[in-house]
Amino acid sequence: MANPFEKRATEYLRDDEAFLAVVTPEPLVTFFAKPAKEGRLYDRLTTIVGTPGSGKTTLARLFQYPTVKTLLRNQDASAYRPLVDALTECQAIQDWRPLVAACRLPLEAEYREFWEFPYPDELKAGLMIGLLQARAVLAWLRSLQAGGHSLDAITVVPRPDAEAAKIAIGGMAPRDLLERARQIEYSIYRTSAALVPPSIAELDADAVAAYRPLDVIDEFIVDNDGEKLSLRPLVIFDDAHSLHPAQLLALHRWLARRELRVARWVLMRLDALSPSEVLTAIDPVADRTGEPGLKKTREVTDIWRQSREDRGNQRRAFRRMARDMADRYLGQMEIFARRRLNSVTDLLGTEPDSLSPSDLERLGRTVGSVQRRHRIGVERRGEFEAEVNRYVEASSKEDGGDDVRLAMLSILLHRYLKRVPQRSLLEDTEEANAPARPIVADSGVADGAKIHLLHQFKRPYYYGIDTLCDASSENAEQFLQLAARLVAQSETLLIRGKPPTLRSGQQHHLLRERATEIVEQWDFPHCRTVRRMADRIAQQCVEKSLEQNASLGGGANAIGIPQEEFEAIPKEYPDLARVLQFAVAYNALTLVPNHGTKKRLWCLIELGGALVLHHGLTLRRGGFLERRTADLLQIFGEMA
Amino acid sequence: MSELRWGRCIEHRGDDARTFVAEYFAGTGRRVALVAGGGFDPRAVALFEELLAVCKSLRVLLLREERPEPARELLERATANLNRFAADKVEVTIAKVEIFGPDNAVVGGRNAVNAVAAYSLEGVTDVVVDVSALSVGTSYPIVRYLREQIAREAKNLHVFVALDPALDEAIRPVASDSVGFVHGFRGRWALDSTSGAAKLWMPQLARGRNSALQRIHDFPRAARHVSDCPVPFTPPSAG
Repeated sequence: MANPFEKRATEYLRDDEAFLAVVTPEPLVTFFAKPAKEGRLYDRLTTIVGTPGSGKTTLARLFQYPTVKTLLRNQDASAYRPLVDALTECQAIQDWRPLVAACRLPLEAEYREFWEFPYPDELKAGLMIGLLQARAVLAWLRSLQAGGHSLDAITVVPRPDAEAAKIAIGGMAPRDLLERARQIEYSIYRTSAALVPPSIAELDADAVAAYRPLDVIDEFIVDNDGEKLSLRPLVIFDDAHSLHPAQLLALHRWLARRELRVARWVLMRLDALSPSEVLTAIDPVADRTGEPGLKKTREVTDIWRQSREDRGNQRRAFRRMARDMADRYLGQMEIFARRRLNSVTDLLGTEPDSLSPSDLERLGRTVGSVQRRHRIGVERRGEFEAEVNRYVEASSKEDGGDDVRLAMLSILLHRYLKRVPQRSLLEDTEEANAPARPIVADSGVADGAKIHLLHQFKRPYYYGIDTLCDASSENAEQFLQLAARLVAQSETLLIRGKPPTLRSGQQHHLLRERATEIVEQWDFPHCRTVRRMADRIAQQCVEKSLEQNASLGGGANAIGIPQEEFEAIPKEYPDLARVLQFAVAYNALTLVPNHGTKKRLWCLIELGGALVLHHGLTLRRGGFLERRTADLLQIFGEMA
Repeated sequence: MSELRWGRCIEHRGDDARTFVAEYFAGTGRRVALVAGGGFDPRAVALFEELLAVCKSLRVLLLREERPEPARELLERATANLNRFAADKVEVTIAKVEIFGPDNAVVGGRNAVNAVAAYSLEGVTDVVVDVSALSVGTSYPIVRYLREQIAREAKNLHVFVALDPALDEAIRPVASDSVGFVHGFRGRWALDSTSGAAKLWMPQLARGRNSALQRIHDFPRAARHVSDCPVPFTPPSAG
């Protein structure tokens, strides 16, 4: 099998068993278990919002009926047990029996075409909804058939009060229902596919017929090895961001109605939302509650794949998920499986590549000259060396080679120089030279030292599984893109008969190379402007990170705008807001609103993982440059 | 085997095409409408200038494809091209064709057809479409539209293209981030009745189109791909 990391295997594996072997249950529990337990997942509209590649479609596929049936057919396979447990927590399965009949409808560009028709908005929305309903019926029946139930063995149960509407959908016999759905589909399809749309008077009668199967269908009953199973229909509308904003609103409004009995999910990317929704932490749909028929909290369950709250926990959860996913993918590669190499973590060496003796000597001379130039006493230097040693020895995980210790010492010396006035140094008394606050070595100083060494000596900085995870911006696809390069190199080593573990220097080089490719290959709306803006922000962050006293520890990887100023951007500077929205929607930038520092709330504009690797910045969060909207506008203006 | 749709068409290449233009369009009864791209592409004016030299009656519909964030240099080139269309005896109509909607959806094909449909061809004997400076997304739908119209109105339809692989490669495309069909060429794709049909994709390989090709590759999930033969065009050495 080719390197499955090269592509998102879950997107293209046609075989359910193969799909289930590589999919990880972690996100199911993280995102769906709570709303399922609270009874909010299937009884109302659920919207799932995430960046491209965050795994929305993978999750949707996991719920699809044929996939669930395949999972349950393999009761003896222990590898599937975690998935069964996760789907049970999500109430899609109970006692090894499916509870839900889910189908997925990708809302491809075809549906967006309706909005270009020269018809009233209501008619355009009606045609789209009619086609969606016909396709939902077709997809449900096809899914049940794929799950092993013949058409004649399916019972479609209507709502008790839907007698009249049953006729319009072709009756409740599956074959009649299927036939009517096909008629409606073809009729509307002919309209949408036409080179020039017909006039309203010329529209096919079926295209505008009163066809509302989702208002009628209550449940499906199927025979499962002699046992009757009641299944709640679930329709998953994927890629809803492809719709025109007005269409999306019409879809939301239609699906949010309480009288619908079927479960319905809408999956979409951030770019489907308004700049205001994306940039100002307002939940999707929330600021549309003024729209007739939408009362947000009661009628819609929102699931954000990248929430802005509790980012520490999210990062840890992503690391777990990514490691699990990577190990599953690795297990698909025979060359590793044959050798029982089943953990990507084990392929990534964590022993740092230190500076060469000559570079170390050069660094030592630089530190010595700082000491001499500023007349810092031997004893004072000795204190700082002891402080560095104390920190490194107390920290079991710290990379504390001689080079890092020297670079840390350099930072402490510069911090000392900042805190003690130069005149005082010339007085040459220990009392006069004592800093007001003790100068301590900590993880920030160590990170700053390593960033300095990266830029001054090209010492590897990015290596190890946690770095790989953190550089992925909590995006599964980006993780796989980065991991693919490392796994491929490890595979090459194996083929050449060498140990498969990658040295830190190899990892660092490969990750930065791949990140640069990712940034250069961005291909989304406004990507050129986003790239140039991000580069300008990154340049400023690099400057800050290379301050000799490392005032921000590992340095900056974000700029911060006062929260109240940032919230005004969508209204006052819509062009800038639109560009920022796409930057966020495509993982180039991340927003961290309401970040409290210096008794003030800031909205941080954080560089994404690929940009961080590309520019050689820290992956630790929190270091930012204080800026104003005017600074952002200036950068934006230079790009325009 | 049924006859191919273009089986009865006449094709000229290179100098033969120039001779055809010089001889055919010089006829006294020829009233010609040229539909062409009005953008930055230097090929936009090549055919126009040849027609201008021989046609007794010529009018022009220029489709100006509009994309977001155009580079200033491209705008200047487009304006310079438009100025070259100015001629005393030629009526030039310029139609702006927005390629992307406000939500970045691709709407160029539909807009191009609307622009051509709104342009009167009354009294015209020959409609010439020069696709050299038009994108695939606009040129295919308008040729199809005109072919259907002209079949009803007993006119002639000519399609011209000035090949320049090096220039084509130098043009950086702006691809949509979602896969869709060229307007009017969806066939019966996605219908339940054809869901079991085999799909064949013959990718047109080109440099710098990796992400677009990848998206297409991921799109028709049940398709069987033929990807070993770059289709069709000139040999790579031509660039």
